[in-house]
Amino acid sequence: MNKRTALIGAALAVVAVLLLIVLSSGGSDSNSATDAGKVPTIVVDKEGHPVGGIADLTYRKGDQIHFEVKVPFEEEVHLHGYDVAKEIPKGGGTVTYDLPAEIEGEFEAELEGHKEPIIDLKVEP
Amino acid sequence: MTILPFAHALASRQDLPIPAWLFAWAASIVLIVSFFALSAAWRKPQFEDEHRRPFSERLSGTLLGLPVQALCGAIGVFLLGVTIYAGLRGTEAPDRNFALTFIFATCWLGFPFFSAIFGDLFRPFNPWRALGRATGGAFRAIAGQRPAHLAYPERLGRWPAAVGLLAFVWIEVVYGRTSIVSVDIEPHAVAIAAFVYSVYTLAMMTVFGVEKWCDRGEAFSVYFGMFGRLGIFGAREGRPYRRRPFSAATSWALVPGSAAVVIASIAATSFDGAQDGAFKDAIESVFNWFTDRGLALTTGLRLTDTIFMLATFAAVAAVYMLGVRGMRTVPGAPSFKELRTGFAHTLIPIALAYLVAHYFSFFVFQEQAQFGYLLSDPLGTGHTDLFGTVTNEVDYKLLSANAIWYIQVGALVVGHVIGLMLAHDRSLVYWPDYRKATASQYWMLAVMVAFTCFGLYLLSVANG
Repeated sequence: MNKRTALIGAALAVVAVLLLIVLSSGGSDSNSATDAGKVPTIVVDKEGHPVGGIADLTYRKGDQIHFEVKVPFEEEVHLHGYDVAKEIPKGGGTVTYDLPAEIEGEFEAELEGHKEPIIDLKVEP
Repeated sequence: MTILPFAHALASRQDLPIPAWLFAWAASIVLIVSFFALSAAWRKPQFEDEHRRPFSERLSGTLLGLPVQALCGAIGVFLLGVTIYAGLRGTEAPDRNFALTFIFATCWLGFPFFSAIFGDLFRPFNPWRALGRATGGAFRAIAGQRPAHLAYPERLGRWPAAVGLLAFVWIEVVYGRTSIVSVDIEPHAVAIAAFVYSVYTLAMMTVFGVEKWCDRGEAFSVYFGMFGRLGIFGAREGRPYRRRPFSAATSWALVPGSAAVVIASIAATSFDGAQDGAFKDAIESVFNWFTDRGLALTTGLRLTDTIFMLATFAAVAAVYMLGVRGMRTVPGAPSFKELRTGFAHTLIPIALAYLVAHYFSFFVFQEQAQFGYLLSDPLGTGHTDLFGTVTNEVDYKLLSANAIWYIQVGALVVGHVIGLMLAHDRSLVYWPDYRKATASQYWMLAVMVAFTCFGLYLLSVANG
């Protein structure tokens, strides 16, 4: 009984590992902001929503976080965690974020006034 | 796990999903450890006796004497008052108001984490218990007799606490939801809820008695006390004592409704973790279905989340019941009801593991805010600096992503092992024949593996 139990456990473990390796071999579908080599620009529409939905930006620790946000009205863009806020003037404008990716984790950039998330930013180890 | 809608309103940093290779390793370790445990475990119950070692009379008298009890109770009442006041009069910014972090991080997570090590730490600081006891003492002094109470309907067991627990979590993760549509939780609403709950609790204590209601119906006493049963200190008949870890858990679930409490705990954490990850697409589909039929956005979202939260509770309960049903097939098994009650305590370590895995980093980050700027400026007005810490910031570099991953996975694996140990131990009570006990544990092993792997899966799924 004991031997059989151990064998079943080992077999299941092997199956689990193989299954997970197969499942995880498809690669990540997250967009690395640094892949394209150009600065991503997040455009916000008149209603305060990001065009194309919330942007996914992924960086490695030590990379340079670099993106722009274009908003057609007066607002404040806030990158949480890194705690960097930038003002959009009356009539709208574009702000640029350019800072080192020092803190690992997942962070949100939002339009403070609208409480609207616009960027889901990941910094991986 | 990560975007907790409410926590999200507080914490600026969320955890990254665990990588696939770590998921694979952890799942494999869980399986190997489980089967090894089944084949090599002990043959006589080890946790049914607490092996109490009482404190000296002097220390007992000090710890449980009136001055210390009154002081602890007064601290609890004071902090409840500060919380309600800060919620009503302070800023509406969730991350700058003392009330939210104190309730949802310091108390909601701090008491389970530390009680699981040291025993029930909430009991002496329970503000409602302190108020109830003080009122009862005043009544005795004036009337010269103990206040009369109605007999508590034992059939209800701990169901009122289970419902209260779900209601609390509903406020946290459904009412306070901040994705799809913005439904921010407001400190003012939380303060009102705390006040209403206080009135309700004091009324129930008046009707049924302070200690009875704390043991059966007061959601926080029951919830924190449940984790306290894993800890090494307890008290009985005016005497604190040291005991074997986890041993007090074996008698906790004998009261009806206890299984519902621990299942509610697992379900609440699961739902919170899956809400913006594993369940995100399904929630959005149902939400769209409601709003397409004319339901307002906020109402549609809350209705959708409520349905999914209750469905998660039902699913967790179903997995446990399947395990119990399976054990019933082993020759010599007691009744289904007895098994259902008898093994419920084995889920407590799983519930704790879920809490640690999902909220540990949030707790570490948010407590820096709690003991930094929130303590100095509880109302968040920006004009107060009581302890000179108002400019302290949260250090998000304190925990690396790797450290968080290992803590999360480690918590789930350790919780799994302790759950298995308790289940194996209890099976030896019902089946003195070791082989039958082992056969019964194939079923509980399946339950534990299901919960642990689901927990790992939730941790591995990216936020939406």
